[in-house]
Amino acid sequence: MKIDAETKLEIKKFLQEKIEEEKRKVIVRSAYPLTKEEMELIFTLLPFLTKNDLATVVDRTLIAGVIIHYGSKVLDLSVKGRLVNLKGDLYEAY
Amino acid sequence: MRLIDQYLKEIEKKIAKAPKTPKVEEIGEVVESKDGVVLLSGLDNVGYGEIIELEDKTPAFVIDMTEETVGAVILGDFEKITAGSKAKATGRQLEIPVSEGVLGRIINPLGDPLDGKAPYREKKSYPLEKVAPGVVYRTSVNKPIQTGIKAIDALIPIGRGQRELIIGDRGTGKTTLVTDTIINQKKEDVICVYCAIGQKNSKVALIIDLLKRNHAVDFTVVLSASASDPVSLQYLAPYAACAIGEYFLDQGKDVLVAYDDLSKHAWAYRQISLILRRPAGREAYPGDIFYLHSRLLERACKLDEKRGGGSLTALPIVETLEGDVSAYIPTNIISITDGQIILESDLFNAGMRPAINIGLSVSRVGSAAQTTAMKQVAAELKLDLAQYRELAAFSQFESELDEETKKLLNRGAKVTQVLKQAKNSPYSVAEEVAVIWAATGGYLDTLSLEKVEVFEKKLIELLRTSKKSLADRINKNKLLEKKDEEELKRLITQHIKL
Repeated sequence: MKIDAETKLEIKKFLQEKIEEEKRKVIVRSAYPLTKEEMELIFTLLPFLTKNDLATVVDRTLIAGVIIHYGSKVLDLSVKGRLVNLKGDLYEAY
Repeated sequence: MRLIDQYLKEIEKKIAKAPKTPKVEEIGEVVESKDGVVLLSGLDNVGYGEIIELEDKTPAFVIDMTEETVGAVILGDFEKITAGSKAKATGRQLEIPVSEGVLGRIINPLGDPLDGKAPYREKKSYPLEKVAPGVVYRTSVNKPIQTGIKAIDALIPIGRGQRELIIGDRGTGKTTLVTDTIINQKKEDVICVYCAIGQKNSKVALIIDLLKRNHAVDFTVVLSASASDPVSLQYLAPYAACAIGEYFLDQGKDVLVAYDDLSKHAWAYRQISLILRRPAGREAYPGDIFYLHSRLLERACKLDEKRGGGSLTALPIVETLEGDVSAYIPTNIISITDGQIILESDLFNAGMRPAINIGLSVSRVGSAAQTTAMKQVAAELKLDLAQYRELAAFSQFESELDEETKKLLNRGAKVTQVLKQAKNSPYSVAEEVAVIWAATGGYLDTLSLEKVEVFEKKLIELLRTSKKSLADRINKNKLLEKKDEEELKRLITQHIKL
């Protein structure tokens, strides 16, 4: 099947845009729904978040704090993460 | 109670040291897992050769980056990796911890101990992949590595900083050559690294036992990635051994690294490349199989005085099939190294051990890396052997030949007999020089062939006991003076009556 060259280009551009969108998507996971003031605090500390589309997820297992996913990067500011690291350190020590 | 207090103190120390600021992590997810290689999505900002950590702290290193996936080779057990498990980038390149504590240890290519003792203290981390020192940093090879084997030190001398390939069929004595060389470095100031790639665990255990019995463990590191270890570790083993050698090289020391053997290393790399679906070339090896070995062996060098003056000598071993030195991997490595020692099973079976084919073996550094004493006696030796080789076909007609030819054949046979040596019995410089001097001086011509061994034993015994002063003098000066020659002559004619 022969695809028109222009159509191919359009499809490629569309795919690229979708991939870029995925990269810019930001997910904020918190242990309980965050209030407006708390969200403002996060935005002042991490300015690049405001420009992108935001999604919030509630995850009780985090105990407290937030985990921020943007693109393929993760910023773990939750208590659960600290506890997991502590567990790792304890096992390593002995 | 005290033990628990101790534990708690350690844990407190550990927690106090832990970093308190959260950092951004690069995360990926396993999409496919096949035979030691995982494909991951995510991990947008990893570099080639970077280490990533899978869920149970298993390390993997990035070897493939395509538009949508990242391919990584797992440095450990891959059976427990499931699709969907998370991976984290560490930002570090492949490296091995090094310090003086690594001497005498048996480790794997990641630095983990295999001898049951605690991990050695880390002083620095040396990268496994490194660009070899450039032309400006090097100087010419001028000091010898004494292997303690007469045939090699006289005819195919190896210098510090040279690469000498040891090639032969299975069971011809390649590993024995290397272990004998390591044992002989006891009195020299050379650090030895023995790298076992894809070997049988039983063989490595035997080698370690041999080194222990000969008190060679204190200056040797054994790095092993055996046949049952993951293929990724077998691929990394030679580079890890070279990295350890480079740690001591940078301190100005002389290092000897033996890679046993590079054929199995090439197989391991071929397995990884085929799993990664890279195009297969000749004998199914990938296109960069030459670069695999050339970048490893180029790191052997003799550094300039300004950079410390250290040296790293490489002894790669290659196993051939049916004596075919013109196969793919052997020819690759022959073109990289500065010479080869070719061992033949015909010679081995005929009783010539070490089974070195003098005619085909060569050392491109040659006499530039020989002590003066050895140079003095080796010239005669080469001549005698060359003439013997030429006339060897006539040795069947012994009774019908003229006197001259008979004399040459006799001398050649004695000299060849003298080049035989038992395994794990290295000779000092003085002992080698004395034995060869006696052979080329004609003192063996009147003996029968069986008595030559007895003569040699007696001479060595005398040099190690009553005539130790002569041996020490030759060893110290590395020179055979007139008075040494006369003393040797007296020693032979008066003390050895055969």
